[in-house]
Amino acid sequence: MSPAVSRVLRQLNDVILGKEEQIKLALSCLLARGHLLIEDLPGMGKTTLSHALAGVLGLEYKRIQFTSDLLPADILGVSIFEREAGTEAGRFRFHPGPVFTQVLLADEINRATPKAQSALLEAMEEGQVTIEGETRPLPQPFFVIATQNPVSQSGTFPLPESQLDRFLMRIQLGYPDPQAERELLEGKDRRAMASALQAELSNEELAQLQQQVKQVKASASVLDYLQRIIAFTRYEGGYQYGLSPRGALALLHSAKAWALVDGGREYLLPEDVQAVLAAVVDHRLAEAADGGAHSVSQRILNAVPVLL
Amino acid sequence: MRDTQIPREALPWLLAAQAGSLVLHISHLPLWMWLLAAAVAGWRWLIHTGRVAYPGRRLKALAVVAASAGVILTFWRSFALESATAFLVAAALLKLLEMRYRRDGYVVVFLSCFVLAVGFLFHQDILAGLYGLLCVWLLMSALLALHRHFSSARQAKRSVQRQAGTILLVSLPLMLVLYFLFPRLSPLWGFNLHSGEARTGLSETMAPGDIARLGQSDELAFRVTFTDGRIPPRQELYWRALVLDQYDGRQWKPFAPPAAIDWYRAAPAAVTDDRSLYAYEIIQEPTGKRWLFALRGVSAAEAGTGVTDQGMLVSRRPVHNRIRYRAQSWPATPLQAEGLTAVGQRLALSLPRSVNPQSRAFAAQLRQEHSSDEDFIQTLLSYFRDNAFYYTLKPDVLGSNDIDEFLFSSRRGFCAHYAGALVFLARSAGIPARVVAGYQGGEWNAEEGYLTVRQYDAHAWAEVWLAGQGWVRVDPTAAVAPERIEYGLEQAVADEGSFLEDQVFSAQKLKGINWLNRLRLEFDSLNYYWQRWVLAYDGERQKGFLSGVLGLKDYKTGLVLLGSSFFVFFLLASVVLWWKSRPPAQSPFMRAWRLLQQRGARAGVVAMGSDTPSVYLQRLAEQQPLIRDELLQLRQDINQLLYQHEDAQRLAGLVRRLRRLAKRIK
Repeated sequence: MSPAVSRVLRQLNDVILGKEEQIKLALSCLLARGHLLIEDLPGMGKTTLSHALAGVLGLEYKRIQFTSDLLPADILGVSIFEREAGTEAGRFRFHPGPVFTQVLLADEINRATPKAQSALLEAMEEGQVTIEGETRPLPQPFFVIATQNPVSQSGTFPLPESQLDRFLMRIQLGYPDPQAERELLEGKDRRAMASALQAELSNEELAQLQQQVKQVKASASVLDYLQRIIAFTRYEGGYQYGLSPRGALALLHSAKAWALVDGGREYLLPEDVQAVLAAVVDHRLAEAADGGAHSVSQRILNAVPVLL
Repeated sequence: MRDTQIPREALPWLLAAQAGSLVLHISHLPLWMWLLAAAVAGWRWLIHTGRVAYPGRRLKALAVVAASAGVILTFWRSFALESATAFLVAAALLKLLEMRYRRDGYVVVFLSCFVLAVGFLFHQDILAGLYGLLCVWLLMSALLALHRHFSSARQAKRSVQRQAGTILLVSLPLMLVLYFLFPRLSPLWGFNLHSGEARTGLSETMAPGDIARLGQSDELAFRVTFTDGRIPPRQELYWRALVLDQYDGRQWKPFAPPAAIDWYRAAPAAVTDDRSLYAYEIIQEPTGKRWLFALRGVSAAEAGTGVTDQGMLVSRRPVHNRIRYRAQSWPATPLQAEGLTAVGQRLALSLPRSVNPQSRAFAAQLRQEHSSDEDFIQTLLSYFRDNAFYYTLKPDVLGSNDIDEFLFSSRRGFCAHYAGALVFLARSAGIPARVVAGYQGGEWNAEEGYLTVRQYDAHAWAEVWLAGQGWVRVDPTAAVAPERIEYGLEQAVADEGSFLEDQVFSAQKLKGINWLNRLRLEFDSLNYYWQRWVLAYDGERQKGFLSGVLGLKDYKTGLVLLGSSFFVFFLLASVVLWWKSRPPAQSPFMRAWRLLQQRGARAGVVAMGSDTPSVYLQRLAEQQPLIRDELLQLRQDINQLLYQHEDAQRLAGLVRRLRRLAKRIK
């Protein structure tokens, strides 16, 4: 494992206790240049995790709290007429919104109306925003870490499939185990710790890691396995829609990032695919019928042979 | 059931399939039906493009009422096949207006199938058959397109039209089996569907101009094959259809339905070497009448046919469908040579009193000169031959004493004029005579060996009764225009240029161009075989085929054969399907790996679906302490060779290790 990655993981694990798995997934997601969606009940540490991620990666970050009256201009920015001092003349000046940053924390994204959601999602896809007819590039790298409450809660606007697809991964945090909870109760304020985190990576190091992810080798056997998974979701699994080619790429890139983050390996193992499968495909597949006790990804894992 | 929308790409197929199913109905649907079809299809297309909405309930009800009223008004008081068909077509068309969901699409497809099948009641030639296949393909494509779903990527790989073609090709053997073996239940299916369509052909009455009108039609009347190989000379090919023995001063018609009919009784055909016997088989187009066509001296040779006391071949039922029958004739046999009955005698001499005085006088004068009946008739023929009589397809319109006018002033006439005049003169002179209507000649297809008789071969001639000889054929047309009998109508009216002059596109006109004529004859023989082997394949011939070709004794074996061919077909299909979807052959490594997993499972370490090689080997190693180290080493090697540095050769080298370890699992 590269020393930079292990330093980052250690820092994060200090802040978020007992969530090594999720932290590694989140880091893999960012190294694969994907946007991350964290879904859980309020108070589970979603915002803390995203704060900590931005801080430890040394990225400039801003945060938007999504509410039902949020407007696209609140995200993207707005032009305001400014009069020059003492004269009648003046001109419009663009005030960039919070989207002009490297890491954007979109808190409770499903509280906002679809109009506001789509303003952000355009930026996620294109890496640029078009305001008042002028296209403005966003800073590089550009990550969105969105958090949302499970849609069963009232007063939410669930993201449609097409928009969910833009998030490389969706992870859930879940309750901490008793030991971690005790540490949490005994320890310091986690939010403050997150804000105080030191940057462990420079922008160049981050870009280099992302480049390394791309170079992770995927052998024919692993690609066969991955394609069997894709084919299963399309033709056999009983899902309404199978994984798209974009979904297949997402699965491959995430697995590569995981290989690097988890084992510091430069080649893919089927275990890597299995590790990221739930985070990558669960939010992309709607089940046609009730899948029973197993989650979407567990059913895939049980049904698709690793070697054939 | 959840209503599924019709996939967008299915609509053009549905519309095309329905339009295709209507084509065979072109000949008899009223014009407004086509306007309705265009309007309805156009509307449905506009719904498809989103410009208009589905019609409301009230509008649909109005359309149904209007269409029904249209059908009733168009076919007022003539309920027949055409009106029923028109109603069906109207209903099928209107269904388009409420074709919203997939199940409506089914209804439209099935209705179109039915409409297509109904079309075969009107057209049965080989082109219609081929066209029907094309339509079935369209319908199949529409059905497949209905089942397309945008997410089923596997289907989208193949276009519907190709898939439909494949399905039809694959089902071809099954179709043939059904065609040959499926029981032909004629009593149930053999409705005599009465068509109200006016048919070209002989009618029961003959006014002088009637047959000349037939001369303008090149429609098929019937086809003949001579089964013994003996073919009568052309001038003997007088196909008798009906006897017209009553004259009302204008028209000739049969006096009464035939009194005594000698029906065919199934008896073993006498094997005869008689050189004067002609045995033949006729495939006859529907006429709607009971008479059949035969040469002189006929005896019936087919169930359901019989011979009248006038020596004519008739059918038990009116011929509403194309039929095929055998007959045999001894043309030399004298007809009623023993003498006429009193009634027959009176009938064969009766004439209306007041008409054609000039002709009567002429006959009386000739009679005084020639006391012998034969002489008299010969004189009449030479009268026709020697005077300036003219054989034409365009006779003059004659007044009330038409025979007088014809004989002494216009002298232009078609066969019916000559036959009528001769019979009139003979009867005036006290010689029993009658008009016989039928066909003469035909076109001989030398390559395939059959005779095609068309409507323009229609002919009328006379028969006179001579003591000791019975009824003798006398054809005045032969005296006036011998080329009509020798070469046919086309030659006879060649100077006039009136042969089929109304039919601009008739294939019969191509006779002058050699290769086109060959092509025409080829196509004609194709149609002939189609009729002979496909259309005429009824229960009787099926039995013959089953016993003759397949050697089957009864229907039961036929049914067993039918069932078993189905079984074989589906067995073959499933074998092919299994073969195509069988799992790919496994590599030696995979076989060895399976073996290891089987042995492991026996030892209690069952492989889960989600187990990767390393996870499985890890578990196995913990359970098998004796070979733990080897298993862990193997795990490392497999991961390396499968995933890190792919190396097929070294992987193959692992096979032996895998097998050896598998044996050591306890």
